[in-house]
Amino acid sequence: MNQQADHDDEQVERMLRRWGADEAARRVQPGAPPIPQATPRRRRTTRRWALAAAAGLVLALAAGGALMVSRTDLAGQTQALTGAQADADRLEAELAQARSDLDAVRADLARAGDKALADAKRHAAAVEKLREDFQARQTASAAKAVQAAARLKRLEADLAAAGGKLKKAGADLAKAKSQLVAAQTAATRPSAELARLRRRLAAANTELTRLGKQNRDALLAQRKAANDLAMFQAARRVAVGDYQRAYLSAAAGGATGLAACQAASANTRLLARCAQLRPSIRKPATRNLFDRIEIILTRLDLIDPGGLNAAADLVKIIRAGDVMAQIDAATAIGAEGVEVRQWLIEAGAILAGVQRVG
Amino acid sequence: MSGKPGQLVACLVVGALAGCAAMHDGAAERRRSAYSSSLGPDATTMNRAVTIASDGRYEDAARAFEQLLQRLQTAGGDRAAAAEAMFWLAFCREKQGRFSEAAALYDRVAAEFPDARAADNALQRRRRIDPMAASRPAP
Repeated sequence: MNQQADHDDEQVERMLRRWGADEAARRVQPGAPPIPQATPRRRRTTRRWALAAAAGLVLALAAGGALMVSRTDLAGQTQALTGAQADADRLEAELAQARSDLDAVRADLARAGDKALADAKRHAAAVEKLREDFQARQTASAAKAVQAAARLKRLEADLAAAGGKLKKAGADLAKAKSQLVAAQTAATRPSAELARLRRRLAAANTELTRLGKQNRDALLAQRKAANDLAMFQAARRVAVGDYQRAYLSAAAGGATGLAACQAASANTRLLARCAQLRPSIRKPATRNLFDRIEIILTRLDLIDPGGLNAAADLVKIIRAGDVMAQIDAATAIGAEGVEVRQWLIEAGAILAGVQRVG
Repeated sequence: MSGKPGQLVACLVVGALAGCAAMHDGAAERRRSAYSSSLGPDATTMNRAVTIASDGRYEDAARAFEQLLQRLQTAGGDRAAAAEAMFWLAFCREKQGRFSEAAALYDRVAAEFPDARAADNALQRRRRIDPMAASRPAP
């Protein structure tokens, strides 16, 4: 208990000593100028210190009172301490109030700071927008500058082209002038040239007339030759037909129809002669024709002349190979020897007989 | 076609043929008539094969004749048709230069079908094949 009392005494004494020093310092500078109130920040700092000083003063007064009470009445020390406790509580409440004020000040400061930050952001956004606008305008200006340069270049090219056209028109004009002069000169040529040209024209007309007549004569001659050829071919067909019928009737020995053809082929030994004549054939086409006719004659020899379709079947084979036309061609060109041609003529006569039957 | 010389040649040929006709062998004609080919449904096949041979396609024709011959022999059908098919097969082989095969087939026609029309033709063609060529191997 005594120790606690000593400790309190020391604390009170230390606070009083500090208060005394502060008071002395304040009295030493009575003419000091008032604290300037330049900025709100400094005012707030001063207020904070004033609050702290007031709190200290209150605490010092409380401690002094308590010390006086303890000095005057040692017996009622416990009661005095209780009063000091009450004062301390009151002071603590005041200190809490001071702290609350301090928090309010801090909140004001925070709000002010937030507002300043928001303002700064708004300004930054405005600055950014200005910068973007500037950049866009700069880009648009550059594009317009490029367009203007291109247009200028195009205009220059058009101008150059127009200059070229003008130059060419000038040249054409000069040429036309020279041609005009030449035409005027030609118009004054002597009439002898014109007469010469007229004579040449008349000669050309005469030649044209002569050639036209010659052409017409040639055409008439060609038609006549075609008619003669047709008549000759008709006569030949008649003669060949007569020959074939006479040949068949002579070679068949009285037989008729397909049997007459078989008999004629056998009696004239066409197949045997075919084998004998083969080595003397000159053209491969004639050799192939010989082979084809040999097969037809062999088939003719083997076939039943009384069969219903015997002749018709043979005719099919003859027509399939276009044998009669090939015989005509081979005998007409005279590329083969007489015996070969004769054999072909005889075979043609027999095959013609088969075709008549079929 | 020339005029008079041509007609003269024709008259000579006709006269010669008239003489030949008088010597015609009537017995052979009667034999042929008695043993004639009646192919029936195979006539179309035979005609088609002969047409192929007349085009110079001897291998194709030989194949067709072989098939026809096989069908006729297995069916026990028309002997005259079989003889003709065998003759044409031999003919194709001869044209192909396979003389030994051709000679053997001609011999078979004459031996197996002595009364057929094809037998006479087979014998005639067999005689024309060069004996040396007949002994030559097929190409």
